[in-house]
Amino acid sequence: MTDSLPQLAEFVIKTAMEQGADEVKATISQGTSTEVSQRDGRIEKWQDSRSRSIAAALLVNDRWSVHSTSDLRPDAVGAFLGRAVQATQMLEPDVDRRLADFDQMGLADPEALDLNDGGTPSDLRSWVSELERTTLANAPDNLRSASAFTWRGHSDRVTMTSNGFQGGYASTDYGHGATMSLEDVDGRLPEAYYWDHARHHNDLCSIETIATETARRAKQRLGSGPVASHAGFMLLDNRQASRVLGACLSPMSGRTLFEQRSCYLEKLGEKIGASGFSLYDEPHLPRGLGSRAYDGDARPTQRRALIEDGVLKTWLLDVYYARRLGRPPTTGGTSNLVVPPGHRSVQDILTDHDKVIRVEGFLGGNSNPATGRYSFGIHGTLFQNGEIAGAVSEMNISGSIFDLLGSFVEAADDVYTGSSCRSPSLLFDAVQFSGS
Amino acid sequence: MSISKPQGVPGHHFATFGVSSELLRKVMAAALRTGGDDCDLYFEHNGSTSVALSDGKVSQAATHVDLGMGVRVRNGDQIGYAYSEDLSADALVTAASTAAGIAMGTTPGRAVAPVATSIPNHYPVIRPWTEVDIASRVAMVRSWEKAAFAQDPRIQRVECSLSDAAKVVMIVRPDGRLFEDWRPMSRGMVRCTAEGTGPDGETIRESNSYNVAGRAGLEYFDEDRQDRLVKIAVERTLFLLDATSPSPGEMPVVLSAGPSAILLHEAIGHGMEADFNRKRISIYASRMDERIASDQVTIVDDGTVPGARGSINIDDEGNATERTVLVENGMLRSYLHDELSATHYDLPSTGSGRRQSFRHAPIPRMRTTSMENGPHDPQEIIESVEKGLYCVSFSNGSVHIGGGDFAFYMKHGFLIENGKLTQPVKDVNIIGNGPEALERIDMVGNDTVLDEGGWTCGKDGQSVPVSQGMPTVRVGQLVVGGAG
Repeated sequence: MTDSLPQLAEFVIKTAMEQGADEVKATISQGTSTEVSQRDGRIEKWQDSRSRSIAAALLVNDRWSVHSTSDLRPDAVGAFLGRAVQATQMLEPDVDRRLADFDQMGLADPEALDLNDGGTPSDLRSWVSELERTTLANAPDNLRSASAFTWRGHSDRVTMTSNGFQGGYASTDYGHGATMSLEDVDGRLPEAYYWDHARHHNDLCSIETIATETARRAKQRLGSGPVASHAGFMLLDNRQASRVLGACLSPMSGRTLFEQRSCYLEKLGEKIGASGFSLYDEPHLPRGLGSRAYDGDARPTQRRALIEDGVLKTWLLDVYYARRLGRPPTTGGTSNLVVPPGHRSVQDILTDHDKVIRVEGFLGGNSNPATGRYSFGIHGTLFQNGEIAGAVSEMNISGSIFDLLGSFVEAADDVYTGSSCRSPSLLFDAVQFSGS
Repeated sequence: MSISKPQGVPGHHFATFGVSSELLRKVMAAALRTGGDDCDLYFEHNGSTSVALSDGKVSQAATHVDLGMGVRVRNGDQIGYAYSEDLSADALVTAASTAAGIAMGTTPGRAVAPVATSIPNHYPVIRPWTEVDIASRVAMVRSWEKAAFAQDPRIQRVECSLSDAAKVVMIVRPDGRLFEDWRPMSRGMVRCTAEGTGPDGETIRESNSYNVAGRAGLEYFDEDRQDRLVKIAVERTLFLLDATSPSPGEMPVVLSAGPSAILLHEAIGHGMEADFNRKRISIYASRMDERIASDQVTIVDDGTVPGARGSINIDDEGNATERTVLVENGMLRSYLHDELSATHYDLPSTGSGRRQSFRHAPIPRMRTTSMENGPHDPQEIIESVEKGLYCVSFSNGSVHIGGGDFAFYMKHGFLIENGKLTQPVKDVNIIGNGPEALERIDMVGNDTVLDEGGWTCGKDGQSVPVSQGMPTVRVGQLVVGGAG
């Protein structure tokens, strides 16, 4: 099908309703992207993609289901929707699964989100070549292997509902990075990577930054090992915050709460962390990697405090779970997670304490939303009074998210912007590290 | 919304993909127009259906269709790749021409007319899901819910889901090889939430789940399997009510038979994938035919296990799948190869070239990874440990391929004290170094068993279904996280 996205969305709604659907939400997505990686002075892989797909949510006789297909051949879409309507009729009714009311739908101004730089042409071949050359030039003598990569993409999306909502926007994204493996004296080959990701091409960090940061991180992992088990300071690197914040967010989800397996069930409005800790959902950050104009229910997005001054301010309830729990809806999922920065540099914070482990990466681990307990493998660097005292690996951190948030000390001034999780480095005390 | 299993002659799926022998040659000619060494076309139609029960209602259903073609052009060890979800002749030729950009030659390669070749079938299906309506699926998950509530009054909530998929793939090569594989998948999951009373009289809530998966049709869910699915989900949930976090530190760890094979997968399996070795970034690079474990340890990766989730009739490059011995009595014997690494090492492919979908180029991947039986009785292994941890189930794992550090997350287990299983414990990440952990496997049990769980392996942004199996083993020492 060669129709425009809104035409396709209209076709999906019309066809599904003709087949017996009472309400329909149609989302049409299409995108193109190119990724290139280089190793040993030559292109390793060049990949081009073009995609277009339909997603449809259907309400048929008080029954609700979701469907998607990338088979857009002339006869396929109609037949697909026909079978989808039939399948829906065989479910059990659930009167709460239906579209949001039209007067609750809407969208923020997509233009203000500034997610599309119009497509910056760039010669990916020379870009990745320059990136690899600079990375190799910065590599130490014990280099085993290095590679460089870059990508660019463009995507379009349109959402329409049978009760009259229409929204959509286009976005671009760009990225580049490098990986490096070094030979350690004991034969191990520690690896490190560094990359950046942005909506606008001119927001990417320089090739020089990628190369020097990759090399610095790789060198910092040489000679690593566990240190003695102890409870103490953890400085969570700004790029790694999403893993820990994710453990704090999963009990907030409407589904987890509704299924009675959330440790936040009795905590709304209660203090769950130190007074200095706040976490926001900010959907309207210009050029934000998680920014969006409307949510999964086609309701306008808005800034929201999730945790403010240590108090749990909200649950993440989409329209369905809000109805089931008898509460007003908020939103079903977060956009950009924002932790406000502090005023001091990472180095100033490290210098203040005689022993801090800076966590620079995770290895496995998980958290339990029902109990709030977490256990993650970590690697990083041990600092003593601000000086590097060794590379740390093969260690775990574990405990409860309530104890962790309660032990929050301060945020540094170094917000990371190459992710939808915009956090500075975060200092916590009394974190249980287990190692040798 | 799946395509039914092909009947009759190979070439059956030309209609599914709307292609002809002539068009395939034309697309391959475009792929080889700049003199690439080789190319492959990978057509895929993946149809899946799932129904789910929550809060007493079977009110969630989803269907998905994924259709497209990926074309890869090889120029030495350089890869050009493009895919299209549009299977029109123009779109296929455009994708192939784009992928051809990796080569800069002037002499175009030739493609001969493809001839379909039959392949073995490691997953015969008796009752395909295409013949099962939604109402029957609804009745199945409904019966699981009923059985779970009947099992124990402490169960407060039950969630169940049933998913099935059928993936049709067609792989075409310029030397005329053409293979079609029809890959079924069935998966069932039960999650329970239970309430109990904590040590201080407070209400505690816990949740856990069990799932089973295999390449089969409806027959996969025989009475025994459905009973077990529910029973284990309930038992594992109730177990957590009484479990505590173990004390952290280094200790001997006994891994129970079956799911513990996540250790093999993370600690050694990924390190055997030959792309990491070709790029010189695996800790196992250049250790071929050296001793890497005790002589009790033999590890195989097998694509031919009947009905296993990790089985494939043909790999995603069109190479025969096989049983590959990775470690034989402690000696490193083979990596897992796709064509690219096999060419690099001048060896035959082990049929390990796999991909998530037509959107990805194939890379070496595991299939069913398992450890063979050793000499020890499992009870003898537990009794040999004075103070340690006995792991029963796991949720996830991870590895840093160069350093060899790996982790897996134990969902439930027991402390071992004086050779006996004592306090139930839960939710702890366990860390080790792959080569060290392998060397520290000092007792291997005689009870190897393939785990029936629906494991999915992620690598380079691609997820593929895998299986794993293992006997009871003792690892002399691993770092166990836990409460302080």
